[in-house]
Parts: sequence; structure tokens; C-alpha cells
Amino acid sequence: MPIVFWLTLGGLLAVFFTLAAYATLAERKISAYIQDRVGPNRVGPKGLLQPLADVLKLVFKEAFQPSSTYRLLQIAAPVLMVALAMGAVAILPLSPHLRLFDGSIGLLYLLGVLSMGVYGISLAGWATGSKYSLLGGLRSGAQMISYELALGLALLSVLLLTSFLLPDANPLAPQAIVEAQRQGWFVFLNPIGFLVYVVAAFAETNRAPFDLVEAEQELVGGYHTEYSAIRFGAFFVAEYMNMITASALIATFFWGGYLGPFESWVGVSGWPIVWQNVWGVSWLLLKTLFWAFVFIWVRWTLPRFRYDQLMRIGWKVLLPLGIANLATLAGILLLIS
Amino acid sequence: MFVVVLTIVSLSVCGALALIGGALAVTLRDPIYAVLALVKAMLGLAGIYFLLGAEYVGAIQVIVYAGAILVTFLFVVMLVNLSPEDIPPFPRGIALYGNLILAVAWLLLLSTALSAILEIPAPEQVLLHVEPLPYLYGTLPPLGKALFTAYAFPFELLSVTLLIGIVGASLLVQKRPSS
Repeated sequence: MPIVFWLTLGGLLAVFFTLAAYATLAERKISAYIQDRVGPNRVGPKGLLQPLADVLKLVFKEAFQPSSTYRLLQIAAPVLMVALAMGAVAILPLSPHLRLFDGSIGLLYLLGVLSMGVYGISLAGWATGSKYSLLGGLRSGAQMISYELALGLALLSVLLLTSFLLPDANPLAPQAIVEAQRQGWFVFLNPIGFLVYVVAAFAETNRAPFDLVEAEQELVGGYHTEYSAIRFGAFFVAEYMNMITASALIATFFWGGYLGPFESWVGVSGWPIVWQNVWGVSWLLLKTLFWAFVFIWVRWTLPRFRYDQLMRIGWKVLLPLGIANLATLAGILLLIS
Repeated sequence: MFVVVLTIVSLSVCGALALIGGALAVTLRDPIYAVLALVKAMLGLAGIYFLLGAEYVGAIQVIVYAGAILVTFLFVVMLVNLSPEDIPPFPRGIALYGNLILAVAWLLLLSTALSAILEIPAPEQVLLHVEPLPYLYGTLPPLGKALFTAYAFPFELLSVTLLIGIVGASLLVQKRPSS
């Protein structure tokens, strides 16, 4: 069993890093097509080796450090970001028989990792001692704290449905959430919760239309204005890792995770375990890629919100909507049972 | 045996994190490092909870204390922008008394631990022959049931302390009527 665990861990990290690296290329290519350009096409066939070239460039550039900084914190911040981005992916169930994390707290671990993410960005903003960075860090902190509530409420509705459909399972385990969706994906059973979760997830990853944190026109680069070379690269990679993780989590919580459509009709549960694993991982990967595409698509289609609009959406729209959805769902489940 | 050593080492590391973090939070003069030391202390405590099997309490420790309350501390420190020079040095008297109290507490703790170790045949026997924890031990369902049935009254009473905090805070920031 430990060998399976280490293989899964290694495979997951390898796929995760590759996806994050190629998400940068996908972003540039898709934005190019949306804006009627060609995009990067010089490095390798069709520009496919571009991420490699980017990494090499970032490694060999000078890591400039402003003199008036908290040196230790400035180096620790990007490391923290990458570590937390990698930590969140551990709770994903990959197939009925394949998962890394089997703790009883499941989702609470995810919430803990997400809530620690604020430190990375706000410390980066503070440690460089630049006004732009500080504003970016503060904006990010306020935004993440505001939208964490809506995210939590949407997750609560998922837990409620899970414990209703599978009363004997521990609803905090991500595996139970996916298994409960054998009776219907939660995007159909809980559409408002899905909507709230997706909007909050976009805000939590600091991506457009919620990218006030690094609004180029106002803050240069936001919290990473004073970062260069591989330390900037760490923030860059962490951002795309967060995007991939958020996509995989949307797929797991609302789109049936590793479950494919017509699962019982195809008769997957009768297959050998290896093929069941392949089937599950493939569906999860497909759904993750689709949601990563949606993330990029939205970024290059929608304009950015103003900061007061951002706060109003978080506190006056998403939060009441999440509470109303949770209460309604609880009432309906009470009536059915 | 390996598991026992690992548990003892992890517990010691977490305990050291919590102790050193707490001490640094009080003594460090740079407010941002003080807040970060407090974060370290909270994470150390969470680690101890995890190792003791109280996974839910550990997770909540991280989410609520390290992830929410201390982030607001960090916000205040960043916005006020205090430099270390603005803060008076640590008062010597308090440091002396604090060290004395800490030393006494530490000695008491050490004596308890020593007597416990002397009474026990060998640590590995105890740790290896513990009864397996009951199903769902340290998780949410039994805790929630206990909090809202057997301990409902003390639980609700505890929320009054939060009310006292809110009333006190609004009283403190209230502008005095100019007479």
C-alpha cells in the first residue's frame, strides 16, 4: 500500500506541475485567439516548449532585492505561496480506490490551507516596503476574507446534501461527497450553491474579474511589484497552481469528481481496479481542464470590477444568497425525510 | 518503536514551536514579527491537537486563530505601520517577574512529567498498548452532539463572554460627550 501511496503522490505532483506550467501557455494562447492574435509560436513546435523557456529565463535573471526590506519575510512569502498551493491538492479523491488524504477532517483541512494563503500575499506586500505592494497585499487580504464566507456557505450546502444522501459516511471526507453524487451531480441538485461557489472561487484565486490585487493600471503589479526572477516566478506558478486546484475542486464538489456520465450503464464498477482508476482519473482530469479553460476564458472576456463593487458583491449578494440557499436546502431536505 | 519515537519527537517539536512562539510574541519589539511568532505558537498548538487525535479542534485552531484572528492582527499592524523604534523597550521588571513565574511553572510541569514517566514501566509499552480510539473520535459529529445537548448551557454561556468583549470594545471607542 505505501508504494501505491508514493506513486500516487509523485504522479499527482508531476501532473499538477505540468498542468500549472502549461496553464501559463494556455492562457497566452487562448488570450491570443480571443484577441485575434497568434500567441507564442517560436519555441518548439507551435510554441509548445514556451513554459520551459520561461522558467529558464526566470532562473537566470537577477533576483533584485530592494534595500529597505524585511529580507527573510520577502524570501519566505513566495515559498509559502507555492507550499500552500501544493498542499490544497492533497484532498482530491482521484478514483474510488485512489486517494492521498484519508483524514476525518477532509474539507476543514482545505479551509485551513486556504485561510493560510492570505499570509503569503499580505507578507509579500508588506515585506517589500513599497506602497503599491502594500495596497495589493491589503486588497488581497480583505478580498480573501470576504469571499471565504461565501465559499464556506456553499461548501456547507454540499455537506448537507452529502450527509442527506449518504447518512452513514463522514460528510467531511471528499470521497463521500463524490460518492453521494452517484445519485445526481450537485450542480443539478444545488445550482445556487454551485453559482456561489464558482464566483467565490474566482475571487479566492485573485483572478479576473476579481484581480484588483494586481490591477496593472493602478498598482503596477500589486503585491509582487518588487519581485523579479525566480521569486516572481514562484508567485506566478502559485497563481496557476491555485487556478488548477480551484478547477479540480469545482469538478469534485459539483461536477461529480471522478464519476463519468452513464457510469452504471457502462458498468464501471465491474472493471478491474486499474481500469477503474484510469477511468476516474481521466474524467477528473477532463473536468479540471474544462474549468481551467473557463477560468482563462472569463479573464479575457469580462472587465474588472471596481473595489466597492467587489465588496458589495461579496457581502450583499453572495453571502445572503449563500445563507438563503442553505436555509432553503435544509428546509427541503427536512420535508423529504 | 519507530512510531513511538516519531510521536514523541513530533510532540516535542510542536510544543517547542508553541512555547518559543509565545515567548517571542511577547518579547519581540517589531510588531510584525510578534504577530508571526503568535501564528507560529498557534500552529504549534494545532500540531499538538492533531497528534493527540483531536483533529477537529486542530483544524479549527488553524482556521479560526491562525487564519482569521491573527490575519486581522496583521492588518492592523500593517495599516498602523509602527516601526520598532516607536515601541518602548521591554520593561525589565516585568521581564524578571515573568521569567520567575515561567521558571516555577516549568519546574512544576517538569516534575509532573518526571513522576509520570517514573511510574510508567516504559513509554513504548504504554504508547503501543493503548486502546484503539473509538470510531469518529475527535471529529465533528460527537463533538456537535455533546455541545448542543449535554453541554448546551455552558456553551451558550460562553458566547456571553464574546458579547462582553463587543460591549467593552464599543464602550472604549465611544467618543466622550464634550462637557
